[in-house]
Amino acid sequence: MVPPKDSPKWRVLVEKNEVPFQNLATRMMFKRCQMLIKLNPGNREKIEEAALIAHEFFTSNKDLVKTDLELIARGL
Amino acid sequence: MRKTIYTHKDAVQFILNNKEKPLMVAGDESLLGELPEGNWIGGSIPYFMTEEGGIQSDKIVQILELEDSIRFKSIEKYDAESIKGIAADYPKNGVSFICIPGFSKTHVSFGENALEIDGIFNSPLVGWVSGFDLNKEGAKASVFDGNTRQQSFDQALVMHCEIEEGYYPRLEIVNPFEALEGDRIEFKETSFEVEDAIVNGKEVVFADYLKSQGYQEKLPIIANYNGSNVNVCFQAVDFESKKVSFYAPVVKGVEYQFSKPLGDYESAFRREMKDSGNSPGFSCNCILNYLYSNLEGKSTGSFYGPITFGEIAYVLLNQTAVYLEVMKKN
Repeated sequence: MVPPKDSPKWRVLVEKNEVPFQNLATRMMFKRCQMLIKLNPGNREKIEEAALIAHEFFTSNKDLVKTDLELIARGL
Repeated sequence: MRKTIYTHKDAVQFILNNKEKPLMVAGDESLLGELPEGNWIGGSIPYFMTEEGGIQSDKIVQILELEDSIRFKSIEKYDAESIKGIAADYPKNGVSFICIPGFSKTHVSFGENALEIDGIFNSPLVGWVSGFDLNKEGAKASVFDGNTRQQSFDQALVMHCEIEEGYYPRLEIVNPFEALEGDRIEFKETSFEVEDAIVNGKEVVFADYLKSQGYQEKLPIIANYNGSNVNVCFQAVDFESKKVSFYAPVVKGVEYQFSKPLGDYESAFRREMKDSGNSPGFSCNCILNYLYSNLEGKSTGSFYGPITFGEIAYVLLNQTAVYLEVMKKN
């Protein structure tokens, strides 16, 4: 189950420095989110943008990244 | 054993017999230009990983027959600008196969922008950068659209496919290289060519820094993408002009490290690939692995596909094997 778009989980997740995900796609997508935040320090809008990217990614790839979704459900 | 290599005559027959099937094709441009219409995209290259091991030949065509659950949808063309909108064309529950002519503007644009393309990770994008015989002077890389039988030297071709209900695609990489603990290197811009770098927070002239470290040109620098190692390989280091060029761009803000020497690539690759014996429908491997590890005649297990001037698993990669397999939903 993908947490809803406005869940605070997404913001917490994209601000993490390392995430223990299994799938290549998830790992790369989070790298993009991390770069967005790193290159725009303190910019809340970029954190929101990264959170949206993560939500859209998991919504589009439910089957491919099932194990990573389970990690999110368990709070990593 | 799965068959992937064909004489030109047999390749023609194979495509005629499989007109509806999505196929990924590789071979010398003179052969690809003479293949019949079908649902295929192809790229120029005379190097292959095959069921007979690594082969260099301009007399064979490699045809990768994708899994039965993969259904052809369309072939689209993208230039250096429109490639940035590729994700808008992704099929729902599908996979998109890409082939880009090596050293074209589209190759550079995709390399530099892929990580930031809107929705790029929302469906698997897998493929390769075409090339040419490195001993052939003046040769150019190209791609071929099987629907129109047109050749292109500057546009990327993407074969968008849907996947039968009950299945899903899984895209992975095999990269036996590991980071060497030590200096942390960053770059101020995303680019295939740099002069400066930031090493452990201090700005340096990168060529001078490389010289001082006794760098090895055959070993990539590596970035850790949350557990997946992404290589960037040196193309040239000019100690006079101080320009350092790469086969894929270094990315602004990403941290890189030197890599450990591998020893025997063939053994390291086999250890890393955890070969299940099932040959993935699509895979490809890097020309630098082929050359530096002398893979001619050697096997990389059940991974068959073109030897490339760049591998694509969502983004442009170097010195890495990429593969796509289709899994059954539980």
